[in-house]
Amino acid sequence: MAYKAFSDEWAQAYKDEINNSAVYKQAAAGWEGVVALIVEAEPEKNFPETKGVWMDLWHGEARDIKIVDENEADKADFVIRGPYSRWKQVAQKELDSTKAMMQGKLKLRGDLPTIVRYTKASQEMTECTTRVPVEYPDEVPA
Amino acid sequence: MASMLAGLITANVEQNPERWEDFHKLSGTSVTIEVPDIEEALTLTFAGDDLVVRNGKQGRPAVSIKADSDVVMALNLVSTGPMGMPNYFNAAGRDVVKALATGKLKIGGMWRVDTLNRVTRLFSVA
Repeated sequence: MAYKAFSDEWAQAYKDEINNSAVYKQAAAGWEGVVALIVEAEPEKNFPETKGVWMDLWHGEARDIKIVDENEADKADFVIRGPYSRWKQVAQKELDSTKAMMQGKLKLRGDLPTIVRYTKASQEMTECTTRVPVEYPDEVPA
Repeated sequence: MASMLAGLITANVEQNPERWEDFHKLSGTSVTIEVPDIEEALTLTFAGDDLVVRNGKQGRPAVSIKADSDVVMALNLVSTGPMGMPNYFNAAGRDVVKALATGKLKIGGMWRVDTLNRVTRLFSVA
């Protein structure tokens, strides 16, 4: 079963995938803090509204992952922002999230040393997204 | 990348005030970082309390670093060991040594050990 991208159901499946990852558990063992991904609207890609993915991560566990609005997402300790199509590229492993941040394709707000310290955990989170079957809005037949 | 690395050094110095000494002792020194896989290069010039970051390779750097982005990120994970020396004996340090040995990391001006160690400490988040 494929989940609609950035839907509540997708968020739950993503949370389960993270919590099933031994690699993530080890790499993020010391992590404390909420990370929000802001997925900016691209109406031409059938993604009309900006959404936030709120990820409450704590010592190698995803305590909660939910879809929130942009304003709520902006309150997180760490915020990574980019347009829908960039996030889709990241989720499909066409674009490395660390490289994207270095190139400014994704914008990061938050304590940089902490983010850099947990690069491996962040890479595993990307791996987890690839294991969640997704239906992208720009691929849904009209 | 310029704003990211400048932000990283700024946060590092703010969180570890003892690194101000390294920052100040690098005054007048330039370091270039070239990251071929993302087609980015920048020059860091230390000037007293300021750090000037420019895109591209500029001037005559004391130290030049050339590596793909994953190796640059690995460099940030090198911790500081006894006597303030970078620790190349743990996993993160060994990754960097391996990158040097295999040519994935190229460092110009390696003989300027003092400068290189100071730069490494300023980048280190470990």
